[in-house]
Amino acid sequence: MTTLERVERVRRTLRSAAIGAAVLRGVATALALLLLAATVDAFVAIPAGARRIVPLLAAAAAIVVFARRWRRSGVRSDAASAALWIEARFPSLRYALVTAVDPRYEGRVPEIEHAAAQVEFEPAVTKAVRRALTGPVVGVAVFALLLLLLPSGAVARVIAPAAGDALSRARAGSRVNPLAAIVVRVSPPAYAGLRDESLDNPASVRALVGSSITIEGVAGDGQVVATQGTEAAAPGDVHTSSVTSGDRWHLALVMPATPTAVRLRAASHERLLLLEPAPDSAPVVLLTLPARDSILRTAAGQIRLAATASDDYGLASGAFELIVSSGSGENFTFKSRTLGAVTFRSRTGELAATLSLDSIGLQPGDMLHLRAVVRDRNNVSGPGVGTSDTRTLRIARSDEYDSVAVDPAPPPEAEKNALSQRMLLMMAQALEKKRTKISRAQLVSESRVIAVDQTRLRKRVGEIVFTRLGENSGEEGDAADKRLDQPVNADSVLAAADRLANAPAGTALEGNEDETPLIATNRPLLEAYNAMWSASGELEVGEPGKAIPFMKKALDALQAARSAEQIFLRGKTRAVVVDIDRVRLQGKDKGSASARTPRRPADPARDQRIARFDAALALVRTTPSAAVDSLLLLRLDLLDRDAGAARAIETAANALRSGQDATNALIRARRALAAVPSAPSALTAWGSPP
Amino acid sequence: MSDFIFCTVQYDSGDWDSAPLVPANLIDSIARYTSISVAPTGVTVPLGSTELFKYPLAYLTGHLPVRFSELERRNLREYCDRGGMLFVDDHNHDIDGVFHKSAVEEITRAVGSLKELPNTHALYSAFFKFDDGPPATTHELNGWGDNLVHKHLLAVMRGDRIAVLYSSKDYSSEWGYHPDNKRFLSVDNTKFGVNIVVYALTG
Amino acid sequence: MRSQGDGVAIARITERGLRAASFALIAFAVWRLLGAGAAGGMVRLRSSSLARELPSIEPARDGAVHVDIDAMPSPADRDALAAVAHAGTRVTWSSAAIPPLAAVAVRAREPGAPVRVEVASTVNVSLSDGLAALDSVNAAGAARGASLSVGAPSGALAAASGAARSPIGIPAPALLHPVLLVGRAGWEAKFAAAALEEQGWSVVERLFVAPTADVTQGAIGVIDTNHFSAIVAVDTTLGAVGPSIVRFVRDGGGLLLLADAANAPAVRAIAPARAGARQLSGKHAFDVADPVGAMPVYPLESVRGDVVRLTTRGTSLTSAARREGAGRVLQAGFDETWRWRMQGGTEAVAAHRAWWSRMVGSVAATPLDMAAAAGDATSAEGAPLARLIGALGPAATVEPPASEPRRLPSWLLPLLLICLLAEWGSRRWRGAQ
Repeated sequence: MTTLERVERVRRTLRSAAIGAAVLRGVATALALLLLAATVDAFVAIPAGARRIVPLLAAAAAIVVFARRWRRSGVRSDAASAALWIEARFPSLRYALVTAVDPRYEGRVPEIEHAAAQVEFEPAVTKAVRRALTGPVVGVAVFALLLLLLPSGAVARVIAPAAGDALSRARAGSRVNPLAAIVVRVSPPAYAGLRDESLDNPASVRALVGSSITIEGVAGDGQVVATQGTEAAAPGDVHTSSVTSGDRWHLALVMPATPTAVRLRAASHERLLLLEPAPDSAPVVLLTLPARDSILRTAAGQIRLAATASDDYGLASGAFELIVSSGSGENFTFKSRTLGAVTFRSRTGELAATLSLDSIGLQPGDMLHLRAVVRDRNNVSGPGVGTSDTRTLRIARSDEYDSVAVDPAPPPEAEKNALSQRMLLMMAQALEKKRTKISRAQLVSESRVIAVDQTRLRKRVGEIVFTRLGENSGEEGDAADKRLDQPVNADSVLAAADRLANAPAGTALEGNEDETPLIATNRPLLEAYNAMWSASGELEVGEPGKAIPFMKKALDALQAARSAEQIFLRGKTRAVVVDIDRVRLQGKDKGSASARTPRRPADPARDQRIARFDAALALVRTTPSAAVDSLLLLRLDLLDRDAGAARAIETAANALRSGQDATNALIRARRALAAVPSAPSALTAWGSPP
Repeated sequence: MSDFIFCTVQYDSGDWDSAPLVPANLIDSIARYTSISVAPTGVTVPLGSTELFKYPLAYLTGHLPVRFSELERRNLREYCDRGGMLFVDDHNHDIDGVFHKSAVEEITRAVGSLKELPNTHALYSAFFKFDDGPPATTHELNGWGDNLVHKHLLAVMRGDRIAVLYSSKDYSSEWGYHPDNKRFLSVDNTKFGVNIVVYALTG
Repeated sequence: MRSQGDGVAIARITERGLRAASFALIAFAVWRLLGAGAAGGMVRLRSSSLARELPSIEPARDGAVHVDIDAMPSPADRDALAAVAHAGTRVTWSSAAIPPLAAVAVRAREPGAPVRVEVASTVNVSLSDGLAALDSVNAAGAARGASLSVGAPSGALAAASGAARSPIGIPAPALLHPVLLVGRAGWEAKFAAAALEEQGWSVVERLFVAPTADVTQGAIGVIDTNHFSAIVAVDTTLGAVGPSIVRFVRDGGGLLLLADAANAPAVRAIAPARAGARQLSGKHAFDVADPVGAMPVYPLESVRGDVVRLTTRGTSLTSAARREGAGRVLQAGFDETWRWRMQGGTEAVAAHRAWWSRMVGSVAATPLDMAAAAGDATSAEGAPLARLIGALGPAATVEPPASEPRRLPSWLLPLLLICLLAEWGSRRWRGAQ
């Protein structure tokens, strides 16, 4: 073997040893960190979040240590460095090896080869390798052994922290407090599609009604009994005993429908756990089509039905519900059916269907009530049912023409060019803007074009506004001999519109006592009609600028009519005015005195709650755990009554439990319970003025 | 002092005005038997309107399905929470009918569950004595509707006060005649209505 | 040329001098500590350190004590100074600026007895209870002072105004009897009773429905202050209760007259005013800041001379009160107050209840609590500056001669240390030489 080959072999050996030593040191560092974390955790519970960082820190430390050791090892990849390493330990070589491995002299100086061959440096290399690796190997072995000696749970908590591993720290034993550390595992009902969760040492558990609650702890002193109910033992309290398997005890509960305090007792130990049911809301359903109630002239054609639904946990099914009411007076018949049934698999969904009016057999006077009904997947407390608003479609009777809510049929051919009031206003504004740039003749011509459309629109509004009304033949009503048959002309209509549009607020929109009302009771449409009349007049004479204010007024009135309350024109209710003075105390029978029972105070327990809080406050310094329990029970009482105060108390209790400074939280909770100070007022000469 | 004004509730889905003479008849009875200051005519107020809060007693009836909008439900809930009282009467007298089923559903959803009102409740002795509970109507006795004589009224309570009083006995038909026609009756059948008003005004 | 030996010699001399100086300084300190505060000398103190220094003052019987008030002394310290003064030592005090402060806690005569604090001062006053600060009040802004309702405070109340601090005693809740409500059956009586009962009052009522039929609650029996705290009339219908009202009020009972109730013949003699013609309000909404502004009102007219005017609307008087014998009468012309509850904002129901309770509480009669009346004056300080003046006399206007301070001057210890260190340093130098 030549010198070069020998040196190469030494180089490879040293390099491998350096790498191995660096790796072993890195591993030892990581194991040391894990050991340190696990040891600390055994005495002081490290939060799960911090424990998750430990493996990452250990890996990072290992890499850093490896990199530093490798850099400091000084072993490079060339033979010369290996030769130097040997030369440093064998000075007698006198740099013969360095020369021998120099490519310029390789094989050319036999004397050097000979001198190098005389020196046995391999044993030194072996010794050096052994020395380099021994320490790290021992370190790794020691740390690994110590880790193995720790309880398995302690190591697992550090290496793979998980929710619910609080029990890994605790040891079972006959004197151990089985309630010192508990883990609560919550399994929501299957329909909710939620994952199970584990909570370490919670003070309260919030979950859906019907969730399985499993409380687990380390077996210790006595069996654990859970009591659900009031503080003092009451006949209605529910007791559940734990089951012990191995070194753990388990206790199974179900989340009730109302907030409940669960007292866990084992021998002389006690612990409080609050169960708070989370609500499962009913689905929210929005009926998008039809968009509004309508009156139809004929029961023919098809109507598109559409609705959207959403739920917090999942929809199950939905359908459109129809009720057809037929009849009048006291005789009505009803038919119900569903349409467009659909099943859902997600939290949102849509319903769609087409309703053929012909298939229902609607008659004039019939009413059709439509709504969408959706159920959610809650199979624990019953499916939540969400319903949309109801749309009512009425088929107009032949003897009435109630066109206020007439379903807008497609416009006939002649009126397809009728433009909306907004469009007309924009056209007039555009014309007014270019007034100075065009001739007077052109201005008048274009203005008259707009006037024609304005007039056409006005007439449409007029058809809606002015209607014939007849008496409704009810039980006690008069015969239909007061029907209106008065001719309607533009002048009378305009006069009536003027009169009504300018009538003071509150004036009954009716005619004289003997007359049947001529004018429908829709004031905004009347105002729009009147304003359009004025606008078209100005446009006719080529004054678009003067017409614009009237057109804006008409537009506003149309907007108001759109959002006005629905007016029922089904029939005029005949008002009967009672002559109070005539009938006063004329009844033959006399009533008798009666007794009233007092109302209960709005919040009878308020002072008690304040006293309970003050009592808990007094315990904070002496027995913080008792103070926490008192606050949690108080919070339970407040959940349905005062959510704000309940939240403030929860914050204070959590701060106390975690050993933080709870001063500010306690102050806020106390102020939330009692009325906050009122704004200061000036002193008066008489106590509290009204 | 303000007069008691009889209020009829107008709702969108049905024939809210199916008993137009009930208000006048009850106003007449209140004046006949009590000294309560009462307005000579009633008013009609939309259920979704804030005007409803001006009238702490309101009357609702009809034959057709009752479907409240979200605004009407909210309004009704607030109305009852503040101390208002709604008297609902099924003009069909039919517990299998759409008015009853839909009205019960809407009231439950808006205000709370309807429960039977005990026949010993103070309502039945508020002015006239009704030892057997709510008086039967001719429509019940003649076999109209569900052909049942309903022994109890239903109520939603707020504390120990009636917030919604529900009747399947068809008082709307029973009281739906002109008050002048009382002279033809040997027994005034509107006296229970007086109890309802007195209870509302003093409870 | 100076030799090393000369330097050493100089060092020796210097060391001796420094040692002598050190001894002199120590002697001076001892002399100051022992000699200061000799009998007959004036002692000057700060009030903030009284607790620490009072025990050493008291034996100085022939001396004089001057206290600089930098913080209001506690009642115990103040009383100790008063005792020293009484024993013969002249005690004076002065203060840079202690503002006057008066603070009193009052229990409202309502269910739950909420606490109200009334303060008067020339500057802002901070209020706190046993838990934390409550609020600060600009007592100087109002002519009479300011009032703050603190509900149910936690622990002891205290007021602070600048350097003035004062604990505030909280009186015990008063015993309340039921309220008697009379009137015609209607929304006003219904909701008035509801508001009072929901607020915790016990209500006995008689509502007139028909000549032969009333709605009653509770037994009325004898109408006197042993059975009722107040009578509330919501209109002019008083019935059989009417004749008893005047005597009831003169014996100490309270009477609340709403709307036009003051026009009832039975109470005209004691009502603050006559109720005029009903006026509507121009407002339609119940403003949170002024809910009564939306109510119709019967303005108070022909007002008696001894009336305390409370609220107005424009030029009309809308509420007023007066005393009649041992009792009180409050007339509020507001009508249809029930609309506030039904038509007001989200807080209207609670506000309506509180308003009614306050109204009744302002006239309610409560039995005299003899124990409280004779009670412990020191438990309710109320006015600390006044009590200080009462104990020690007014502040000294002339600065008294400064007395020998008992404390060592601040330069003494550093100088002593320098001397000692310099001597040590010199020795070391010498040793090194």
